Amino acid sequence: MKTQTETQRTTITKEVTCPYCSLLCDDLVIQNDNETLKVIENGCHLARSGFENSVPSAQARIKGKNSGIDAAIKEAARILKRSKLPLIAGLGTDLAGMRAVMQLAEASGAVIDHMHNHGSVKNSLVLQDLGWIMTTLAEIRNRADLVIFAGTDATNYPRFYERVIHNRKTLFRGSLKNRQVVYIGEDLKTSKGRTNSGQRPIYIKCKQEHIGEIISVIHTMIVGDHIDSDVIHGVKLKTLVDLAQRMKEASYGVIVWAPGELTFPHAELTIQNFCELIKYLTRKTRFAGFSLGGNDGGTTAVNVSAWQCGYPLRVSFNKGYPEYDPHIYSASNVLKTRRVDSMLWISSISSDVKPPKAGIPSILLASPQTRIGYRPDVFIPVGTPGVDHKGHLFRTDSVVSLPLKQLRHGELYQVSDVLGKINELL
Amino acid sequence: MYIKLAGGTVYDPVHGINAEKRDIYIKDGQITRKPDPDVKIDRIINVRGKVVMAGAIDIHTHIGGGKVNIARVMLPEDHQKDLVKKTGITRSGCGHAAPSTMTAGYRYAEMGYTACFEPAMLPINARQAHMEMADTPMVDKGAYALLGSDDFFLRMLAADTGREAISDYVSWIINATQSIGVKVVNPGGISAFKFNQRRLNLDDRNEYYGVTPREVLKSLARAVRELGVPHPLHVHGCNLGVAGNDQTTLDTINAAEGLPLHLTHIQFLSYGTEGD
Repeated sequence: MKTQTETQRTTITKEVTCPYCSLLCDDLVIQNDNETLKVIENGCHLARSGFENSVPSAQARIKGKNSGIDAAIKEAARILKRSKLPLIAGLGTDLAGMRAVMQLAEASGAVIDHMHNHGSVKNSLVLQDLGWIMTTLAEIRNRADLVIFAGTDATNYPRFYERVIHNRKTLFRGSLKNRQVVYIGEDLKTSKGRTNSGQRPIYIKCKQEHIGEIISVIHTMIVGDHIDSDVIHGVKLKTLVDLAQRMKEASYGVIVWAPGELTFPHAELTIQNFCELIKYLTRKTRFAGFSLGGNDGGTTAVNVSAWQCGYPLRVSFNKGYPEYDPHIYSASNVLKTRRVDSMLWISSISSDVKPPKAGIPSILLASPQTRIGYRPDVFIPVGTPGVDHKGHLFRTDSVVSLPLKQLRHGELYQVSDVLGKINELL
Repeated sequence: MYIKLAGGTVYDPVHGINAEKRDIYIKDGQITRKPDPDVKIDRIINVRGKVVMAGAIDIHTHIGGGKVNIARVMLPEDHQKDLVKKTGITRSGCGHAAPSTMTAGYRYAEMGYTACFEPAMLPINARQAHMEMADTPMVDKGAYALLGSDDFFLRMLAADTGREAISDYVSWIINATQSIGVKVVNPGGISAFKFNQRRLNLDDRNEYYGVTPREVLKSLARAVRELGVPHPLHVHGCNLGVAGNDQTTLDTINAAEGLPLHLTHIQFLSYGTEGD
């Protein structure tokens, strides 16, 4: 439903989807005053910073000099044509942009990886090895009576609490009354974990890399086996006995994690521990997982890659068919080992993501306000989906994708158009 | 508007035509007999050297949507067995258990299919289903919207909101999700499991909504019929894979009380109790 009112050169748009994190809140009201945007209703600080600092135009540059966009596109195509193994990464774009990425990657024989995939790859590995039971925002909001934040406090997803923990309306009354929030991890901000009915959060402090073991201990006790220690990594056993009991008695429990925030080696094993426990609890009650992540088109990229080539990114098209290796074909690895000899990096949403400095011919497609930090061979400014052009993005829980509106008419090209033109010149 | 397909090699088993060189005439979108010589042919398409046959329709094939994509991510080792190289005119991909979308479209066309239907489109995931179907080339596509465990529908049914309101909702869903039919999978059972109810036979009540699979089935079959949706309610029944579910299936047919149903993958819902 579009509602716009016009007064001179000021436009107000309702029900705007915000692209600045993967929650994709769609209740924002945005004012466009002579192509300057302002958040009028709803939206968190990420939305305000995103919409209000976005810039509607900029110059394309070749080696730092203004070149006009056509010349920049030609030069980008020249770099890719000469390249033996290009890397197309960042992938901070929408559905249309990602479709264009896949086409260009195949045409140029490139490796593809997303800027935040170091997080979501951990999820993919668990899905491939074990499988999982996951849930959605609506189900948490309406059903969850026990929410366990493992290794995250959702600070990077500001309206998560407002939407699914502190909601006042629910389809099924029971969940709100008895809702309890638990945190497991270190340096977590827990004040938002206090529920509407006054229930204080439980905070189990332990180092990130010990969360997996804590969960294993709980799992072991729920299965009925005995634990010998009274203290595990600083946590009293009786605290874990209590949590195990709460998990068994929950009607609909959820473990929330953010794979990008579990920054220790092999964190996928910890995520696997969550999913194993969820699986075991599901024998008797309902439990599910929820992953916070996939900003900057991350969830979109994984999905489009999976349906168009079968694999969730980290694919090389160099042989004319998709070759998948989540360890070899990461952007950081192919750059570090110098497997790739050119890079096309895309970021059209958040402005604080830094493109890697590669030491190889680099093409950057980025929104004008992106902080680059070096001078690429080619810079092509691009519009932000949901601001400068329409599009679609996938939400963090993947099930839901949302349409994005065009809020202003600047001079920036869409990522999908730029990539399409480069592809034609190959 | 007359179209002539000229000089093709026709196969039509139903009419006993086996590799005959024949012209085919189409009038206003329907195949018809050869018109009188004075009738104007608006368009002639030269199909000399080509096979002309009826295209197959796959009315139940999981070609798009979140769960299909989960399957793709889960099966990297399976894709390895059937990798597909790009050509000058086709995209690369993979086949076997959960093919990539382009490969699925090409292979369906190679097998002589002209239309494929995704049978289980979750309304909230309809966008993704359509995205994946849009990336499935060559064949026509459509999908059926899942409604058997839809909370809004179950609330209406539980509150006895009435046939008209339910028909209105069903038609709204069909339009909003751009679907071509309505599907139930284990009607009401998926909802029941969310409330930790582990079993739901045809006449068991959903713990929260209090409605039975029989009521869900009848209500949706009737709505689909009254709305004039050409494809009947597409039913994946209760107790799939369970020994003795042949009786469940017979009960399900009776539950519809004469309303048309499409019973899908019926093999898995027709087991007796003989054997191990």
